[in-house]
Order: sequence, then structure tokens, then C-alpha cells
Amino acid sequence: MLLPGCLSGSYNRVDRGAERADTLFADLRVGEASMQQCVEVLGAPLTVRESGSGADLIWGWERNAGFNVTTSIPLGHSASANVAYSKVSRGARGWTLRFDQDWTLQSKREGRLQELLEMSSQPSSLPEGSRTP
Amino acid sequence: MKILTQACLATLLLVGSSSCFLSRADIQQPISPQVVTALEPGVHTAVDVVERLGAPSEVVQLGHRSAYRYEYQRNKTTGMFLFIVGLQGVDQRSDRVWVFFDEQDKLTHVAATFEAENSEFELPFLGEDD
Repeated sequence: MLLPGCLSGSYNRVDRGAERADTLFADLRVGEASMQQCVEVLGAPLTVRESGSGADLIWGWERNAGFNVTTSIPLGHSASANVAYSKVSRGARGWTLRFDQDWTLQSKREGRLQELLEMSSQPSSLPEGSRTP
Repeated sequence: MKILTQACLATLLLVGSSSCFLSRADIQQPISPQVVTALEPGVHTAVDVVERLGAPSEVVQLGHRSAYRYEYQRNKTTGMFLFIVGLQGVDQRSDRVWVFFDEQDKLTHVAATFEAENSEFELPFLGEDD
């Protein structure tokens, strides 16, 4: 019963969103595909950001798994040593499709989701007095 | 002897796995696919969309145009503590709809994904590998 005090471990996994097949991304032709065609194939993006006179649409999904092991070794009456080891595999990936103002695919990029989000311009907030129903 | 071994293992498993939990969290209201399907680009306006779907979760300005996001999220978490090992799996899926409007607030595009119902209770080592 004292074992949990000396040694413990955990294994965690987080899944967010459904991964899309690479072939869907490969089949989208830059300069030809319309936004309508893209969203029919890929569904709703994770986020939308303004990009010049067009927009970046970013799709993403995440598979993170990691484990953690902790051990505590008594070294005397009033001292102990703790050792912990953890490893996390980060699997957040995604695609960015950039559209021009006519909603034609201008470029596409795949990679780590965090990098795609950082590369894309920040979302602009609505100025005061903007039209909202 | 075999029965005794099985009984011991069953007892150990029962005692060791005495801490198990399932948790489900829903964020926002479910989105009706029928309502989304009925939205017609070129016909409906931002006012029509808000009347049908309510207030959006996010509004993004795209120059003089705009896009609204509607999202319903379902998280399912499974946990188990087995003697000295803790296991936890989280599966997060969403129903997400983006609607795009032109300069006159006329609907131009609808992008929808409905996968919240696919969220599952799964221990981490039982989840599908991608």
C-alpha cells in the first residue's frame, strides 16, 4: 500500500477534431479551386483570418499523448529524493488555404497547427459602428 | 488452482481500479444541420442567419466582408487509476459552422462540419492511432 507513495505514473491522451485525409488537400488546385469547392470537401475550418483583401482558412486537428513517471526515494529520517520523467508527443497539425478576394485558392500550406496559426495574420476586431445584425 | 488465480486477479483488478470516472462536457448549444442546410447563399442575409442560429461565437472582419462562427463542442473524458498508474483519455469534437457575408451582408458561403456526436469515451491506449 506504500508503493503509490514511492512510484507513480500516468498516461494521458487528448484528441481534438477529426483528421482529414491528405489526398483531399493534394487534390485542391491552386488558382483553380473555389472556396465553395474547398469547404464542400473539407468542411468548416478551425479559424478564419483576414489576409490582405482575401482570407486564410485554417483547418486543424490534434493528437497528443504523453506519459509521466515519478519516484520518491527515502534518504533518511527527514530527506527524500524525487525523480520525475515525462514525455509528450505533440501531434497538432493542419492546413492553411489562402483565398483572394474572389474566393479563389491562392496558396496552400500544411504543417504544425501552431506554426500555421502564427504565420497567418491575426484576426482583426470589428471597429466600432460596424454592421452587425 | 486456476479458479483461485482468476479470483485473485479479479479481486486485485477490482481493488486497484476502484477509481474510475467518465465525464462529459457540452459547450454551447447544439447546431441543427437542417437549419444550416436551409441557408441559401445569395438569398439569406446576416440578419436571417442570426434569427435562425442565434448569436455567433465569433465574428471576423474580412475587409468589408465578414464571417461568423457557430460552434457546439462536446468533450468526453475517461479516467482510471490502477494501483500506481493513472490513465486519462480526452476526446473533443465539435459541430462548427462558418458563414461568410459580402459587403451588403448577403450570405455567400456556408462551411459546416458536424462531428460532435462522434466524441467517444476512450482510455488513452484504446484510442484510434492516426
